[in-house]
Amino acid sequence: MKVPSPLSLPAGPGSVTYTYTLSNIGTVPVTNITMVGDSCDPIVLISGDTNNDYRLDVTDTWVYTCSTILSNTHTNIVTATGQANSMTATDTATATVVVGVPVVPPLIHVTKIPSPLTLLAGGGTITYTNKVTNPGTESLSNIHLTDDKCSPVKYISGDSNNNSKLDKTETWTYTCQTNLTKTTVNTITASGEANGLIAKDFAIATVHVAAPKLPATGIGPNEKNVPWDIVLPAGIFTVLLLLYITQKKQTA
Amino acid sequence: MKSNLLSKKILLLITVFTGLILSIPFVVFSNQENFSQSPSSRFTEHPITFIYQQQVSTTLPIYIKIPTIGVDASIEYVGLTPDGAMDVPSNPANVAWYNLGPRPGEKGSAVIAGHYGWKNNLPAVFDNLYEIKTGDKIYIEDETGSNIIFVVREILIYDRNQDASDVFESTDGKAHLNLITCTGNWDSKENTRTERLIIFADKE
Repeated sequence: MKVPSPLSLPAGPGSVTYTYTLSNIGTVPVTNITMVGDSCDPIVLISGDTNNDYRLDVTDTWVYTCSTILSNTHTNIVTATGQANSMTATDTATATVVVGVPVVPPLIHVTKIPSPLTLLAGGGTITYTNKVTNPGTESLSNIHLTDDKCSPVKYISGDSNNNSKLDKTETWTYTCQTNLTKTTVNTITASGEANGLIAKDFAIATVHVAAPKLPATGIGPNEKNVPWDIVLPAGIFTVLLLLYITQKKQTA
Repeated sequence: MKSNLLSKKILLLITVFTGLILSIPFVVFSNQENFSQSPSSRFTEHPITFIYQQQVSTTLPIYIKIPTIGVDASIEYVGLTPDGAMDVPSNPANVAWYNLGPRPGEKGSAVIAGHYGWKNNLPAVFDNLYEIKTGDKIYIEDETGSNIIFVVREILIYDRNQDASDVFESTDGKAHLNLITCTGNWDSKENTRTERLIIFADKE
């Protein structure tokens, strides 16, 4: 999640500090964390790695900051990546700072958690739970969620005051169910509006479907089946032949 | 008189069963003929279809042809065995396509398996797969009669228990076809061969 401070510079160009909050919503620690911003550098880790193991544990919340000077309204994008179980996890956050206009831009944040996180060979049914929050200061209207590989994305709960606006204190929950047969990376996009501006956020999740074991396509070098297609008629033939000979002997 | 009638009946039965026995070699011979045809004789039947009807297709695969090693076989469709392995063709003369993965020609890695060796010394479809070479072409004919051509890129041997993710999955957005058969020594304890021969091919 990314929150700029200030959210707007109504008086014109000035300094902005972005605060990035990185947490692990999975079940295993994540290593090799990288944070790459498109227009602010350097991004500095301030706190969070409490046990100094350089791993983003499931209980950790790492905080980064980056400061820059903005002269125009600008949307900053940061991409966080990490690795666990030989797979890469990625998240992208965007934030807009309005310069020169007395408007506070909206912010939105979405997370995506698949359940289960992995499937056996052949695949199965997966349920994605998406949670949307508002880290800004303005309530958001026209909340939309779209998933690039799962539909429909259904609203479940969260609008506690039933005003159809995502307030600062609310967490809206959406789910989507689909059937996967192979390892799938999908992205949820959440958007909301306030003060005539649109806020967007993305969350990416990977579900690993195990590959099948290799097939057993051979038989033993000397393996043989009893050839019943030959043995059975030949046996019957022999019995009948013996009967015939016996009969012939009796008549002779 | 009664005994004469009985003898005639027996003679008739003997004739019928003799006929049955004599027909067995013909049945066996005709089965083996499917394996022993030379590649050229099998491809002269519809040369125009074979050469010119190649196109992008993701319809169901029907036949596989590998002219360089004399493979011309029907394709069965299989899924998984109870222990999570790709299943195998029921007929040793056929190959099996893993139908929980991509179809040949679709993005991703389509996988086809065939037997190596069969009971009573009958030949199996991939007995000569070890002779395939890099650059050889594999033709998959679909239900519309069109051919999709794949070119062999790499030939590898895997341990039978090796992780097969890179056989069944690819992430380059291209269409691949991977062939599998058994190789290595026979492990009588596990009742299977110790290794698998994997042919990696790319859509032409």
